[in-house]
Parts: sequence; C-alpha cells; structure tokens
Amino acid sequence: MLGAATERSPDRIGKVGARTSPAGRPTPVSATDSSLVKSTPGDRPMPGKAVPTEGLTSMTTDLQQHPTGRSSAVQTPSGSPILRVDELRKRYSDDGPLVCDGLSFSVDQGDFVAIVGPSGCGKSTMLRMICGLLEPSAGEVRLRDQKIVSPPPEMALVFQDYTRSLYPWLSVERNVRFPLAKRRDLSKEEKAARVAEAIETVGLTGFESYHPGQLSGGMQQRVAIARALAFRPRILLLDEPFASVDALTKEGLEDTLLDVQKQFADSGMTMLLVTHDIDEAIYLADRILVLSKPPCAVAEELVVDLPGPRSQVETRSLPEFLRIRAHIHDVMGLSAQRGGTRGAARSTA
Amino acid sequence: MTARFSSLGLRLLPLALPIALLVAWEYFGRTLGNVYLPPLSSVFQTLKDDWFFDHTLSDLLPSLQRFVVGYLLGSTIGIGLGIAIGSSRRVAQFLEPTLEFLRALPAVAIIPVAVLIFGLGGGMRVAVIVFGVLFPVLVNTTVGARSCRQERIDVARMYGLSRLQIIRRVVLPSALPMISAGLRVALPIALIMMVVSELVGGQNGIGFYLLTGQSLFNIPAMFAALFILGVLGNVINAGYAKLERRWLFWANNV
Repeated sequence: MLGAATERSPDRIGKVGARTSPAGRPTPVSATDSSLVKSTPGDRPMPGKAVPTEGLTSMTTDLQQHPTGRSSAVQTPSGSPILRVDELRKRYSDDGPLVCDGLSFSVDQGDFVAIVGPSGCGKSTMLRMICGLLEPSAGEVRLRDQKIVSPPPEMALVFQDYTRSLYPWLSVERNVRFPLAKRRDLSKEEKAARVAEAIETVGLTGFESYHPGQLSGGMQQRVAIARALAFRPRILLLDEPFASVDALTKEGLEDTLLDVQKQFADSGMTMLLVTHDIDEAIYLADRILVLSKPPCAVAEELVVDLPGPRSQVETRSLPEFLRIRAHIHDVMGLSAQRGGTRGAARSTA
Repeated sequence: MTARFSSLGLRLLPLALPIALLVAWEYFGRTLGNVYLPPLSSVFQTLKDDWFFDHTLSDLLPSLQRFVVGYLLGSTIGIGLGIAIGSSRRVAQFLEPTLEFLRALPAVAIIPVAVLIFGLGGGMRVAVIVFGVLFPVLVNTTVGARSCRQERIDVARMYGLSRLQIIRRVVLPSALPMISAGLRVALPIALIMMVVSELVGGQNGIGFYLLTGQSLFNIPAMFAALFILGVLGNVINAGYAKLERRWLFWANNV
C-alpha cells in the first residue's frame, strides 16, 4: 500500500512548474479589489443615501476603467482585453497526445463567454491552464498583459463535481468563508458580511450550519458557487458547473448565475463558462467559442444577440436561439468529422 | 402479546451464549475440581479482593499510563510521517524503503531490542507500544493523504493558500476518515503490545499480574486479569467508536 503512491505528480500541491515568479503570484490589484468591495449591490450608492466618498471615488475610477458593461455584449473587442489566451498547447508527457492545439481567444471585461465542445475535448485542461493551475506546454495566458504563472488573486473557479471540490468537514458557512482565509485586508465583520451575502445570493440562507453531506446535489453546487462569489473574483471560471445536477435545479442555477452577473456588472465580473451543453451556452453567454474535437482549438466564435433579461421559457423559444443552436450543431458536426480523422491518426501514433 | 414476547426474546438472544458459557464455567469448575478451571465464583472473588482497588492502583494505572502515552506518541508520529509521505514525493522516496522494511517486522520481535536500548523500565514498554501503533496509523494516513481529491487542492491553490496551509487545511482533514480507521485498528494492537511488554521483566502492570498469577498457580488471578483486559478492550473500543461518530459525522454521507 505504501509503495503504490509514488507515481503521483510531486507538484499536485505546489505551484505550477519552475517558472513561477519569485513573488509567487502576480501583483494583486488592491485598488480595483477594494472598488469591487464597495460597488456591491448592497452598498451601491442610492440617491439621498449617504455613501462614503472613498467608496464612490473608487467605484467611479472602476467605471472609467471599464466603461462597457454587459449591455454592450455584442461589441467587438476594443482596447486590451482582460484575458488573452495565446496559442495554448498542452501535452501531458513528451510522447503523449496533444490535448490542446493552439487555443487562442480573448475575453473582455464584463463579458459572459461560453466555451462549448464535445466531451473529452480538453476543456478542463484548458481551464486549468487559464487559471494557472497547470503549466501549458506552449503558449501563454495573459491577464491584463501579465503572464499567468500561478493562480492569480482575481480569479475563482467553480468545479464540475461539487462532491470533490467542497470541503465536507466544513459547514456551509465555513466553506464559503474559506477563500477569505488569506485576506488580511478584510476585517472579521467584512468577511462575515461577504459570506452572508454570497450565501443569500445563491438562496441558501438558513443552511449556514449544515455540512455539504447533509444537502442535496443542487444545494451543494450552490455552496460551491457561493464560495466563488465570496471571493469577489473579477473573472469567474465555471467548469461544467451544472453537469451533475438535475434539469430543474440547473435552470434555477443558470438564472442565479445571470443574476450574479447583473449584480456584479458594475464591477465588471467576467464569466467564462465551459460546458458541453449548447442550449446552456446560448442561454447564458454573450459570446460562444466552439471547440473542435481533441486536440482542442477554437473552431468558431459567435456572438449571441439575444435580448435581455433572458427567461428560461421565452428566450429558449426565440427563433434566434434556435438558429444559433442549429448553427453550433452544424459547426460541431463538421469539426467532429474533421477531428475524427485527426483523432484516429493520433490514437495510432 | 406474542409479538411483544418474541421481540423480548430477540433482545435477549445475544446474551444467551455468554450466560450459558458463564453458567457452564461455574458448573464444570465446581464438579470437575480441576486446578486449571477454578469455578467462576472464585475468579470473581479474586477480582473483588485484588482489583477493588489495590491492584487497580498498582497495576492497572501504570498499564493505562503506558498505553495512553505510547498510543498518543505512536499516533502522532504516524500521522505526521504519513502526511509528509502522502504529500511529498521526495519524502516518500526517502523514507518508504526503510519504513517498508520495518513495517514487515512482527512488532513483538522488537522487544529484545527495546530492552537493550531502554532497559527494563517504562521507557521500553512505551517504545514497544509506539512501534506497534506507528505502522497502521502511518499507512492509513499515507493512503488518506494521497487520496485527497485534486479539485480540493486546486480550490485552495486558487485562493492563494501556501503549500503548508494546504496540507494543514485540506490534505489533513481530507485524510481524517482514513486516519481514524488506522487509529481504530491501532487500539487493540496497543493493548496487545502493552500486555506483551509487561510479560518481560515487568515490575507492575496487568501483564505482570497475569504472569505472576500463572507462575504462582494462582489460576483465579490469571482469569481475573483476562476479565479486566476484556472489559478494558471493550470499553476502549466503544469509547473510540463514540468519539468517531461525534467527530467524523460528516464523513458518513460524503
């Protein structure tokens, strides 16, 4: 039993690879961070309501920096995008198959981008590289022109499998508070307020003292989302977040996500959703990247021009929705054929 | 009426065999008159005379003391080493061959060596218990630490926790159910090592009392010691099960 385990990677706990910068993490943007804190819906400036000047100024600068919100989702990328993925390639071992083959795309501040692709096409690998958990074999990911070498403090990731990513020994409240453990800049009260707000956003108020094992699957995934929200990331990465919950719960969680994006729109929360569910991608996103079969690359990029606010019943029956869906099916069918021959060639190699 | 009666019968069923055995013991002890099978009542008489409370203080207490110290020390070392091996490949490569070799040794075989190193005092007996406890805890902790889901580690890395913090706040708690299983297995082993260590050049302890009873042909005393050990083992196991249910309730439905 003792002998079996040495095969694990030595670095599964450590930072990625040797290229980690000495400081460990890219410079945190404390100013924008604090503006994030100030511009939450709870203490958004209201007419006639006294607001601390400090909060106002930092929010204004924030708005100046990122004047475009979600409303202008159809816009073409202007200026420098918040996230730029450049020719990303990954091979797990030198003679192993290519998992990602030259992935390139960029994401603007406040965008909701969905990435769809057939299952097993390397979506999760891509996401792990984007958030700095996995070192790419070639290419790079830049966050505001800073190369990502380790998980940046502005990103949060929601995993597909809540049973694996939640901490079952912690209560809901302590799971959600977990990301704030390292935040010395926040007082105890601020942390408590953030946690309460995040839990309320996902509709779990009253379940704070429960443990994950005592909740249903959908509720556990809500905890996972709340945990990411409590961190107040500028970029929220979602790896098939609703793949393991039932259809009805999924619709509820999708709308929660849209609400969250709306709530945090002022501070420009950028969403990057990886999914194999085409309908989900169209329903949620402003822009969709369609990936090819493995090794994955961007096969097509399209803009979703659906009116908001979106609704589960109406939006999904719009002709435009159906048109986009048919189109993506087309693209994926095409890329499936191409990828099929490529995949076959690779598997013999 | 019948239903209630049969449910009462069902509840008594587990007690039937022990009672029958004890009755048979008393019966054959009286009728056979064999020195090696004293009647149960004389064993109980010895229990009452010796263990309320002279020998409880002079033998049971020192035994328990060594048991507790040895068990805690062995568990602590086992958990520490196990976490280190389970979370670092380098530590694993460095330590595993040695530990693998030591683990294969029957724990009691260590006694003569321990006598040479520690003499015949309490230190030797504690060391023997430590050696017996160490490996089941170590192996389980290693496996538990290694089975920690990558996603759990990734979450902590995303939020900027350092390697040590991840080990303390994620890997260790993840391994707790496995560690606890190891600790449970180690309990009876610690008990065995406690008794065995007292059979060698002992000055006190339950094992010493047991051996004295045997060598002085005080057979009731010998059986009384077995009674004490049986009760002790059961109390310890039940107590541990209770603690485990309270502390690891979250592990049942994960």
